[in-house]
Amino acid sequence: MTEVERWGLFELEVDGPAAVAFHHESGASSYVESFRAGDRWLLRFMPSLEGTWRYALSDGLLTCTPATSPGPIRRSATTFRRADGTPYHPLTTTWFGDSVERWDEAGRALAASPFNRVRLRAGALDDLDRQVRDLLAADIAAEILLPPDESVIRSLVNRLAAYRNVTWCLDATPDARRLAELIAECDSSQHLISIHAAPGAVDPGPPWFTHLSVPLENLRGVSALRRDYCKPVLVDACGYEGDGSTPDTSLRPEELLTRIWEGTIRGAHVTHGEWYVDSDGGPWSAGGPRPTGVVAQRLRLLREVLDELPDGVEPIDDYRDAPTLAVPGSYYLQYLGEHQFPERTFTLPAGSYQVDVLDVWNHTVRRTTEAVTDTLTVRLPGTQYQAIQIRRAS
Amino acid sequence: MSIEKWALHELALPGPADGNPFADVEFQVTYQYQNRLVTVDGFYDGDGLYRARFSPDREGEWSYVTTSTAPELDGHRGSLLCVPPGPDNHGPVGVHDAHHFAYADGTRYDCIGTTCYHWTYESKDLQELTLASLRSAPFDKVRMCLLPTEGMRPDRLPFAGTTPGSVDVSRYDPAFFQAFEARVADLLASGIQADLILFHPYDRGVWGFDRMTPEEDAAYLRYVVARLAAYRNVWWSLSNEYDFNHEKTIADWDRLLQQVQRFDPYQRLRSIHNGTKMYEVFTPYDFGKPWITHQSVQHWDGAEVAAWRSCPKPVVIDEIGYEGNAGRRWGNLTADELVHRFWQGMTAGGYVGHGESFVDRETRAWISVGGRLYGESPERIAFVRDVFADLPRSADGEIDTDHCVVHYLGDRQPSAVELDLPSGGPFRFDLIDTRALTITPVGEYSGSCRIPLPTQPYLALRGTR
Repeated sequence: MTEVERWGLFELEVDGPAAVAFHHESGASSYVESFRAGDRWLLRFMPSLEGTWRYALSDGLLTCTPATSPGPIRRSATTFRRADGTPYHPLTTTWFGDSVERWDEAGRALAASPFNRVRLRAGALDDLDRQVRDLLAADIAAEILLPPDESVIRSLVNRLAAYRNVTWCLDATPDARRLAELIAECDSSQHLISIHAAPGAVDPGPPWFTHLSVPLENLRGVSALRRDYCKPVLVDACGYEGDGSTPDTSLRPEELLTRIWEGTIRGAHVTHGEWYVDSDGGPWSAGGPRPTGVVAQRLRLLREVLDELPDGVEPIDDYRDAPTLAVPGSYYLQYLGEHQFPERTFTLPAGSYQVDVLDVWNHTVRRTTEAVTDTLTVRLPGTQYQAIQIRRAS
Repeated sequence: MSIEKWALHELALPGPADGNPFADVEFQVTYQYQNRLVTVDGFYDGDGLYRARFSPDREGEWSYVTTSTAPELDGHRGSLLCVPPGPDNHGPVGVHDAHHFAYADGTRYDCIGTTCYHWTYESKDLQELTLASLRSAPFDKVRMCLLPTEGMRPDRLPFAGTTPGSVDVSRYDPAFFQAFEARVADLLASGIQADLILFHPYDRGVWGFDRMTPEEDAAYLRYVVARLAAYRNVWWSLSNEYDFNHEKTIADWDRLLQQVQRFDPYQRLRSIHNGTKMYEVFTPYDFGKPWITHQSVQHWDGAEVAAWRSCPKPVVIDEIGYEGNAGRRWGNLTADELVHRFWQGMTAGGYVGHGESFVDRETRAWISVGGRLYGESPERIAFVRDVFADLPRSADGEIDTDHCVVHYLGDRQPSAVELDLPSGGPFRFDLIDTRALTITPVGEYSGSCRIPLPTQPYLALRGTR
């Protein structure tokens, strides 16, 4: 009897092309097609439910044991969660490399970075397979960019879908519906599916897209996108920190960092990218061995903040002049961007609060505890890139 | 259980009847083809019965599982076998490339609509007469309203109750919908699209359906979509003359359109229709917004199509004026004038809708109640439909200008026309008389040429090679 843990990977060698249905004791089922790996044909399946699965091959029996991971990423209204319900806050970087030699170092750099998700371009399938497996070991999600090509999509999805750390993103195409539905048909793990396109070019509203993946330079636009589509918003291209020869590859680090914070506090998830042309081994986002800029390091603060975000946090409208995430009454996170406010006032229920003034650029935190009767005024250093985090203590 | 591709599969289950089942019970069914999931809202159909409707778009085995807040509706599983479509089943209509339409099987959709706003509210006999009229008319789409106007006092409404001021908008009338759906199915059987108008401004607070709360609007739309989206001939028109409803803002219409998009598993065609003060005021919705699939326009001039095609979505002038003798200028055009507007709009690469408003005949105005058609335009519209259906087309649905030239001469009466034809071989020209409905060969022409004409209006030239 074969045992696989829930959301783990079951792999089986088969004789050739095969389509196999996996039936769970509850009545749920999945459909799996084999794929070619070198001179072998393999079939992979990620059981999503504990208990007995039957399939029409060899002994045909699989026991799914309790999970030891939070599982794949799922959409939950305008946010993401792991399949076990844990909130998931992606912090993504871009690594569009095709060099296998650089991957070892890049993979290690990712594991040591604040990022928990990386965008990869579909290259050679063997390489991609290895990258996804390495990332799985580091609990990093792999967003795979899929070209609008039916046969590439089919072979790639059949091969990689059983990894729980995968999400799919279609390159912009007029054939969006057919290809998104093809991905869904092939994907036995039902991973997230999006299309990288501006909403005016391809409508992200239909149900075959789980969330938005948009290029967006002005991150203030995030709020309207969340309102219009009621789906999670991933800004997967807002420009690269670097010194490239184009406007979008030569952002100052302050600018990229503030874009990421601005979009995040408006309720989106903003992807990092880096393009320093003279980096040893090439720009990070072009497949270089490691990030050499400053934003990747400074995002550690955001990573810490995201890891401690309370469940149910949402953007609120109460403070019209600064984006604010909140669980009203108990948690507030406000970002002030390029503006140099001397102070900010909050209206809060009476109680004791822990107040952090986060200098996002200098990566410093000033923490105080404040007793509040109805309003709280937080003094600020009067410089740019400040955030205020308020947590109810009692 | 087997069902044709794009046909309607219905599931019925008994469930709770107490409280307000329309609001209290969540009921959904998730259908699965291979690994792809399609989740549809079910709905309460009265008498303790819940239904869910589904239209499969892939041949093969589909399984389903129900989920519900009511235990007796939760966890039901089953399957259905989707078989190839029958000969008259071309699937739902969708947008083809930028400016045209096609059925899901690739067949071109002509889009020659008409309007019968409240025909389903009339007597059974009149409804049957309307259907008979439609079957012998050239129209492949009907615009029709769900909600009554301020002056109507029908026996049944979408909502519970029949007296203004005492209608419960948190409950729906399943019997109203059952009758309405039977008519949508009749249209489907006749190959006619049902362009469903979900709101209109002719309530003026009498029923109050033009000024419900956002929550009431959303619940109404969700119920309507749950009941009707699985009919493959359904289109959504969020409102007629949306800009005449001063109780709602553009932001409201944005939200309501987005909600319909969110509720609709199939993404049926979706638009919103403006009003006009004829010849002066024209404030269409911004059709460039992503949740709009096509431009549903009210305007008096078919030649404007050329300008609107800068937005990459099909242009459908659903109201361009009606043939008839009404006391209002929108309803007293001659057949000559209405058909002229068809030719203008269609030659420019758009689509035009018909309407008729003879107010002194046995069955009153067609646009309001259906009944019988009295005008001369339907026969001529059948002719223009045939002419356009036969034109050679490029892959994008446009007239193939390498092989075909259509030149409409409008209401002028030239004795000759000078054309500058694409280089290459000669074109064989036909003179089309849009009133006499004749097509007469007039010889071959090429390059810069002068074609003599009989000095009368409403002619068209068609050259093919």
